[in-house]
Amino acid sequence: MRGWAGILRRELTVSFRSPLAGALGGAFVLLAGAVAWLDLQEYMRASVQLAARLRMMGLPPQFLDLNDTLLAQNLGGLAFLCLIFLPLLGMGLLADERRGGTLELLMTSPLGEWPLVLGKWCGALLLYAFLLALTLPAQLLLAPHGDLALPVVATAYLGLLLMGAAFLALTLALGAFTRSPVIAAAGGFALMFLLWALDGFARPGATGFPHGLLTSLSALGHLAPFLRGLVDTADLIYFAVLSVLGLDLARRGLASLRAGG
Amino acid sequence: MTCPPRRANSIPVIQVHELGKRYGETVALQGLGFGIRRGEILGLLGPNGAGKTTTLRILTGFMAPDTGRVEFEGRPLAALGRDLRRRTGYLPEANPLTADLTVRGHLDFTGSLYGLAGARLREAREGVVERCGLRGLEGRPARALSKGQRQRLGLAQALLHGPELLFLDEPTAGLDPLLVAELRALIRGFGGERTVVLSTHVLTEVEAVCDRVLILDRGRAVAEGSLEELGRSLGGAPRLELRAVFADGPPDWTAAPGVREAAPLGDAGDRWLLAVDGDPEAPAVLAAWIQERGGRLYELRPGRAGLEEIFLSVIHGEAAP
Repeated sequence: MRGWAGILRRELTVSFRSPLAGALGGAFVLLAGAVAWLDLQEYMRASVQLAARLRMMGLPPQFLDLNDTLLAQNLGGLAFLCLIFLPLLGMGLLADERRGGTLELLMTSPLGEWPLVLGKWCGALLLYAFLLALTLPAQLLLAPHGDLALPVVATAYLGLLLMGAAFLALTLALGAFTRSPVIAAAGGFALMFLLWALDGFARPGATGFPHGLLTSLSALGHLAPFLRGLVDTADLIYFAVLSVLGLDLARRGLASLRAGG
Repeated sequence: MTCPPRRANSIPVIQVHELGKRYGETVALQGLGFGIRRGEILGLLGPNGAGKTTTLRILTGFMAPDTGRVEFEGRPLAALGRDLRRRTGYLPEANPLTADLTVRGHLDFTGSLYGLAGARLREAREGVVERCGLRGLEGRPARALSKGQRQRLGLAQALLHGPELLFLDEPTAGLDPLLVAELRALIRGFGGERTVVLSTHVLTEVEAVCDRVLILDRGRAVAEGSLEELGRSLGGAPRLELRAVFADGPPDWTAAPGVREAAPLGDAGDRWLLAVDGDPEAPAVLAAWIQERGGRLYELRPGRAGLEEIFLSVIHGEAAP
């Protein structure tokens, strides 16, 4: 496994120096902030409307639950934003190396396929975690306005991180089979949206084949509990299996490149 | 400029047997076989699409051949894998660099791939920075380097871990003449100390740098040997190279006994390359003929067919005019 730390170091150095990564990260944080601000406006409008309605009915004023409405809305929006940005973060990981020819240098060095794949994946995951961390203040700013459920914020971010790990591994795998980052990103989008919305094809509440299977394979179905503050072993295993599957596919893609050219 | 042969061992360090490779319908290599001797600089020469890059990619372990095998010190290349890659350095054709990484960043990263760290890495880095003329550029990102500096960085990366085998794919492509000369001198310096395989389609590069040449065409080896050997076997008629001065200008050399063709060497008009018939007395006969016409003979020695002539002869089956 020697060499993966070198790949990770290079990945982080390049990510933090690259104008493209900077623009992408900036756009992500900006959009996350905009989504949070719009959600807050919506929450305030709904709260005022509720208070007015209650006053007309002669009832005492009540506030909308911060966690059930605003926080849930915020986290849902952030999850969707992640879904859009993850293929963009992962698209160039291997495809750029192939297109630029640097993969030839890596693969003629003593570095094995696993260290290469792991170093690349860890680098992208750390960048994603960093960007995700930059969106935390938008959630924490809600705390003065109500009883913010910090454990829900924590589990939601854990869920988003795990989803990111899995989706980055899958995009990495796609990049091992193409030299075009655009194709890797487009394939990543398609795959992630499919995984995200799989339970939409299932009949609600139905079990067995295929409805139960579709529900159990849905990424949204496994992320939702995290967004509600629940950590279930099955959900952890789901994202772990997807991650390992993606990484192994990427490794196989590189090995087949060596074997077949 | 032609260099004297270096101290190359006659035992092949790499032996290539019947290599075949296809990209879909396109045949890149077919039945390619040759040997590389320890310490020599072997030039892979051929037109575009001859299979030079594919050959290097197979030798460096980047891709596997469809058929045939490569042996390194008598052991199959495929079985050596990572051990062999530790002993080789490679400068690919496009010299790929990471735009946002500095010169030092590139060298440190390459070092990490080859297990170099701490003092060993520093020492190796300083060595190649000095040798490849990168001093003062260590903190500059690759995007801000000139073409020549990029090429030198690529070479420094290939040399960093002190490889025994060095594979260079078109190392001087796109460089200005001054940089070409610099880089060739650098590569020439590796002879004897390292085994170098250099792919190029520039004839003068082979003449300036290589001990031996392998000419490839459409995936096959069409000629192999030192320039002298190739000149003898493929150059056609024997040649004499001479320097003679005549008071009333150079004579019609084809009127001399046994001379078939004559070509001037240089612009001074006193150096000539003559194609003569196989008579062993030809030099003596020619010297007498020059004296009879009042010429002064300063130099007369066996001549050699130029690489261009050899190359055209084996690629197109015809000699250069």
